[in-house]
Amino acid sequence: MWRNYLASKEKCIFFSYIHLQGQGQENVFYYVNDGSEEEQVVALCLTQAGELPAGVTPWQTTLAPGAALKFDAKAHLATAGIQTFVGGLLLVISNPKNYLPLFIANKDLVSTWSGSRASAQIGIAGAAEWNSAAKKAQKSYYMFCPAVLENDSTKTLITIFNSSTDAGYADAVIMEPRLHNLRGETIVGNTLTVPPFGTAVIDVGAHFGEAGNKLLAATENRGSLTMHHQGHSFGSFFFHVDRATNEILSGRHTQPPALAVCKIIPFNYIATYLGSKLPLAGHIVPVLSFLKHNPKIYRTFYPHHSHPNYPGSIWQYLEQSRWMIYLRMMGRALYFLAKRGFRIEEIAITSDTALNTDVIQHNLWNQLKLFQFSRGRVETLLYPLKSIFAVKPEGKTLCIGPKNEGENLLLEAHGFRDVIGIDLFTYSPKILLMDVHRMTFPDNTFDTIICGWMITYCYDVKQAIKEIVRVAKDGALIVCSFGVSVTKEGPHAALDFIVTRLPNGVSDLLKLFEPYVGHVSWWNEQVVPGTGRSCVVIFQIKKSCNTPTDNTSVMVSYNK
Amino acid sequence: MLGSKKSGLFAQKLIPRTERPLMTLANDLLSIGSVSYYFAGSIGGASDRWQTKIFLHNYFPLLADALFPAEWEVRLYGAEGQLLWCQSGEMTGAPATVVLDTATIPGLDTYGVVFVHIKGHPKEMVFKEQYASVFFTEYYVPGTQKKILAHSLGGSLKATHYAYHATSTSWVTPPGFRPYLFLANGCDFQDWCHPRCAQARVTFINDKKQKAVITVPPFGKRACQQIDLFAREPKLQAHLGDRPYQIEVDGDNILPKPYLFETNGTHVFAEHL
Repeated sequence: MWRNYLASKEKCIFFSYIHLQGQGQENVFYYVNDGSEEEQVVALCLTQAGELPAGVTPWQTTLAPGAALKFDAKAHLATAGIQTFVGGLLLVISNPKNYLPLFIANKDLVSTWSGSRASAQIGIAGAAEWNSAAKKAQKSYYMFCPAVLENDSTKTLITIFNSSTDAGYADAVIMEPRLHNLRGETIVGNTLTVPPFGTAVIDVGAHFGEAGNKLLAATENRGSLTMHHQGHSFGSFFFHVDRATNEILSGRHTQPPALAVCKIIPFNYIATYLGSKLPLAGHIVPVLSFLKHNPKIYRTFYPHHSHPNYPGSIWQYLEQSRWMIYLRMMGRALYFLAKRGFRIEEIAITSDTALNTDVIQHNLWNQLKLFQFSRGRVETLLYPLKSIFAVKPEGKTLCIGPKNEGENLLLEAHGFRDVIGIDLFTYSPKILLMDVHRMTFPDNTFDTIICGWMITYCYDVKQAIKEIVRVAKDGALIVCSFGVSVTKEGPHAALDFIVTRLPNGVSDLLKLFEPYVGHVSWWNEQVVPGTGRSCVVIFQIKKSCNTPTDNTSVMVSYNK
Repeated sequence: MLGSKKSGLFAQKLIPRTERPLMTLANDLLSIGSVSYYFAGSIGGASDRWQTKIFLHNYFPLLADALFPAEWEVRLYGAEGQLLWCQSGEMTGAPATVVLDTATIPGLDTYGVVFVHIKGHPKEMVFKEQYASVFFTEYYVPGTQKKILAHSLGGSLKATHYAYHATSTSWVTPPGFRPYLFLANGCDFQDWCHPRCAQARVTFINDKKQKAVITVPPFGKRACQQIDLFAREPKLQAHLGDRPYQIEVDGDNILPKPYLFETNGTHVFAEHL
């Protein structure tokens, strides 16, 4: 008696649908033992009435930890001379030593249906307890399939499995399907009786007949099907099937909407949503967290090592805020400018560095850019940088061309402890007067070098890169961003010398850094309509074969 | 106003509109939808140009066993996370279905995230708790019978902001097929106090319990990635063979249930992890 396989107290079950209705169709099921103990597996092909077909035996195997099974329903049924079959598959896993409901919910049975024209796949989770005497009275079952399609080439099948983890389960259930068109007009179908361990297969067109066809025809042959039953749980799939070959084109398991509607959303969820609707409200979230808990608990909830982009403390949160950065930057600028007699130091211009004159003019005097801080642009570099495992905020960081202290202060607020900037002009002790082509830092000095929108402004890009590589430590992270124009027309025509320098974007830049390019952690090229491309890349400098990496074997190139 | 076949659990979540009006107003405001992926172009390097039908079904009449009006909102985001398209509408109290088709929407990316919220609005009752939504998608190639049915992934935001970690077992890449993994950043709305970038590690454990790891670097909020797994890690194909394997995805702020899309050019296997 096959039900004896359900007698074990500690087990889980999976159920699925076997559909072998034509030549060339395959129906294969895959399962992996992801536990640490051996598992005994039994696969049962059951008829729609919930019985083993004559001549078909249970398929049994033992799976070692990590081992996988492939159950070919067609091959198994062929041993009993069965070529076509429609019914259910019940997979029973017995594993007395490794039984935990949490683990079972993570197990998947992957079912695949293949034919000559299409393939379909559904993964379903295991159940440790299903329609047991204790559970079935508490459940309400609501099923809806919103993708009913009945046309000349495609029909819709709904399958329902009345399974249980109890060997003695004997409940036949009656269900009442309702067919709706897209407008919600409804007809009620004949009631269905699903025997215990049986499988109901509803061919929507056949079940609802001419009335159903007429209903669906009013809304482009599409509609939905719903069912309700109190007291039992069901697994149900819906399939689109090719009328000519009877092969499955695609399928999905239905979703009980009650799960979503009755979902309880905790406090943080609410705060997050508030922050989205009311931008200012977002600022109160960490404050509320701080007030609600103490800092120790706050850090428990927001551990800095695993959430690198969260503020590490309430003070760091305030320090990172937009206005705090801006006020600090402006206050310090006024202080240092006053201290220097409102004199800004500029680098000496020689004949071979004449381009620097344009750069100073552009960055310093045009529209008083000295006091502009493009926080958003810097954050597009900073947030990816902080998320990279190899970043060393405790090490030395170099900002090339920050214009003012804003970039330094933002980096410091995000935990970078030793930040120094260089530029062609300065008012600040945090920004040294230095040309990137001729840096005076010793070799192998910096752990992180940030070149935000500066590399294409260099009069000798190769020399600048040579210097950047020289001052970078082996394994240092280089953060580079720049814009590329696709045309010499348009708003940036006056800056053609800058924006057309690296026409192929990041790949051009990395070629210039060769052979010192190690692992590329972040590569992003975004098209700016009408202007060109915005390019950002973060990579490691590799000076020797022993360069430490973040153990990644992946070269990243996406969003191109 | 609820029928005799109403869901008991559902009925418990409804209270008269006059009772606790402020709380119910807040809950109504704070209820969020759920998300899935959309395709509107060539996926997996194949010549097929996929499109997506999005099915928004008013399931509230089913739960209430009565007429139950609802509103819906759909937002489609680009691969970089930018909002590309937004539409909303109303449903009568009947179990009607709204079908949206990306083929009719201009300017979409090849793939991205679709956000859907179906809000129930009974006349005399309100929900006393926040709730998510359920919807389905049908990926199809116009002019052919190629299609993939899929359902929504649950809430779009992680409630606690803990790192996402999920193990999914029993996947298989048949000979000749090439797998593509779709990942999205689950940080959906907020600019502040949430990571703007997500990153993930995807671990493939074969049936010999050997591991291969692919690190997915940071990507912006609401952004979506199509990862050609065999291109990213050339040794992965030999590592997996044609035997079932497990996939572990862990990382900060990753949208639950990444999507695995496998194709050999003519056939497709696709499923949420």
